[in-house]
Amino acid sequence: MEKQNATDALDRALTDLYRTDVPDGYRAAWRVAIAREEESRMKQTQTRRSLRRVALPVAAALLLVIGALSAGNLIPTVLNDSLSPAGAPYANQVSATSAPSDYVTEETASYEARSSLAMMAPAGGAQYDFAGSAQNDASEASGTDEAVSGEKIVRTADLTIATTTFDDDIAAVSALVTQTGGYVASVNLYGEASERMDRLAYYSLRIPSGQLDTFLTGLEGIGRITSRSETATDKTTQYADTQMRLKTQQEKLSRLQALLSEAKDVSDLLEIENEIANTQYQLDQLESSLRTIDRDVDNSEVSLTVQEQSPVKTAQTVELTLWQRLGSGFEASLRGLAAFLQNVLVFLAMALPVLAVLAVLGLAIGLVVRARRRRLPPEPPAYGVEPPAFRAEPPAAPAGPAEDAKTAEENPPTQQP
Amino acid sequence: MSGIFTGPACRGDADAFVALCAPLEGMVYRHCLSVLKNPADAQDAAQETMLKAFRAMSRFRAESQVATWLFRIAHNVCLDWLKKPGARRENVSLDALREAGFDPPDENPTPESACLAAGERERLSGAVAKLPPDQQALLLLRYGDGLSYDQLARTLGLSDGTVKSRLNRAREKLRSLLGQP
Repeated sequence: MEKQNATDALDRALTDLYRTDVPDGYRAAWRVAIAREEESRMKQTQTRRSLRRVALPVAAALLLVIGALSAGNLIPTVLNDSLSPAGAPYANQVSATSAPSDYVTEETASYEARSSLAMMAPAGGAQYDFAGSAQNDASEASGTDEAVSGEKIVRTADLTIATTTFDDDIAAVSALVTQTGGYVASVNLYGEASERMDRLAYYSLRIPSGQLDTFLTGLEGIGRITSRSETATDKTTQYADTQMRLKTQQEKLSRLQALLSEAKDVSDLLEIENEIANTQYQLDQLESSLRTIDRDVDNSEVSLTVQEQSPVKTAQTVELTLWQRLGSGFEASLRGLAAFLQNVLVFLAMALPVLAVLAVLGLAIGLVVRARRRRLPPEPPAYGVEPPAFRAEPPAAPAGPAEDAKTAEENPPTQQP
Repeated sequence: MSGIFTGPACRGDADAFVALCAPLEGMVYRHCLSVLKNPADAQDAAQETMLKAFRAMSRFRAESQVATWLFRIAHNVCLDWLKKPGARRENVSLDALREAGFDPPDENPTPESACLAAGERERLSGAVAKLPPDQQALLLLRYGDGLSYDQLARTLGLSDGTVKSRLNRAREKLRSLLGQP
C-alpha cells in the first residue's frame, strides 16, 4: 500500500514536472524550417545537376583540346629523315685539311692540277724567276745593289655566311672560286642534312690577289654575310732583306766554288766542300722563304665559314603593311585550325580503343546495377501498423494509477516485513 | 509507427520526416525546457533539434528508436546552447509556465508549501536528468504527452510488456535517486 502510494505520488510529481503544453508557434516553426530545408536541398541538387550538365561537356572539350595538342607532339607531321634534300647524305665530318706544302683536297680532286700549276705559275701577281734573279745577282757581284722588285702586300680575308640554302650556296662558292682562278686549300663539313641540325662548312681558299676583290664581291650575292674581316700585311722589307741575304749567300757560293778549284790539300778540299754544302742549304732556305712570300702575295688566303640556318633565324626585318599583317595573321590562323583539327582526329583515333573498353565496362556495370534493383523487394512496413494519428487534443491525464494498479496486480508487490 | 516513414525520411522526404517526428515534438520541447529552463530558448533549441535531425536522417541506422535518437540530439543541442555565451538561464516561474500554457493544479496554497513544491520539483528534475536517455524519453512521452501504454508501444516500436517493464525500471531508479523506499 505504501509502495502504491509512493508510486502514485511519483506519478503525480512527474506529471506535474512534465505537464507543459507545446506552443503552437513551435509546432508550426519546425515544420516550416523542415520544408525550407527540403526546398534548399532541391535547389542545390538542381544547381549541381545544371553544373554537371555544363561541366561534363566542358571537361570533354578540354580533354579533346589537350589530347589534340598532345597528339600533335606525339605523332608529328614530319618524320626525321637523315637524307639531305638532294638525296646525298653528308658525313658527320669531312675533313680534308691539306699539308702546308700541298694544296690538294680529297673532296675537290679537280683542284689537283690547278694547285700544282699555282705552285709553279701563280695566276696573277708577281712571278719569281730564279734564273733571272741569279743573272741579276751576277750583275750585282760588282757590288751594286739591285732595286727591290715592288711592294709585297699579303692580303687575307675572313668571312662568315649564313644561308638557308646550304647545298646551293656551297656549290656557288666552289663555282666562284673556280671563276676567279683560285683553289680550295681545305674544306671541313659538319652536320647532317636534316631539319634538326644546321650544317657548317669551313673553307680555306687561295684566291689570286688581283681577283680577291672580285671574289669578295661575288660572295655578297651568296647567303648573308654575318661577319667579315680583311688584313693586308706589308712584307716588302722582309722580302728585300731575304733577297739581300740570298745574294750574299750566292756570292759566297761562287767564291767557294772558285776556291774549290784552287784547293790543293785534301783537308782544304773537304773543308771547302763542307762550307759549300752549308751555303747551299742556306740558299735553299732563303729561296723557299721568298717563294712563300711570293705565293702569299700572289694568292690571298680567304677563310670562309658557311653556316646553315633555319629560315626564321635568317629572316631579315621587313616592315609589313596592316593588310599584309592581317592577311598573314588570318592565314596563320587557318593553318593552325587545320593542324588542330588534324590533331583532334589523331587523338580520337588514339583514344578509340580506350573509349571502347570503358564503354563496355560501363554497359556491364549498368546492367548489373539495374538487375539488382529489379530483384530487391520494396521496403515492407516495419510493424505492419498504421501510424498513429496526430493528437490535436491536449494530452489527457495519464491513466497511470489504474494501469499501474493493473501492473501491480501482474507483479504483486513484495510483502513488507 | 515509424516503419513506413523511416525509409522515405532517410531519403530526404520532408513529409515523411514530419509524420515520423510529429508525435515526438512534445517530448523534444519538454526536454529542452527542462534543461534550458526558458520557454523561448526551449522553442529555439527544439526547432534546431528537428532541423538537425532532418539533416542527419540519412545517417539514421535504426539501431536505436527514433524517440531515443531524437532525445539524444535534443540533449546535445541543449548542452551546446548552455555553452553559448550569454545563454539565458532563468528559472521558470509558475507565472511564466502559465503564460506558456502550463496550468498545474495549485496543491500548495501557502507560500511556504509553494516554495517547498518548487524545491521538490527541482530535485525530481535533477534525478530525472541522471537517468539514461531512453528512460528519460519514455518518461517524457508518458507523463508529458500522456500516451497510454499501447500508444507508447506503437510510438517506440516495442511491446506493451517491454514498455511497462521499462517504465517500472525508470520509476525504481528515480525512487532510489530520490532516496524514497
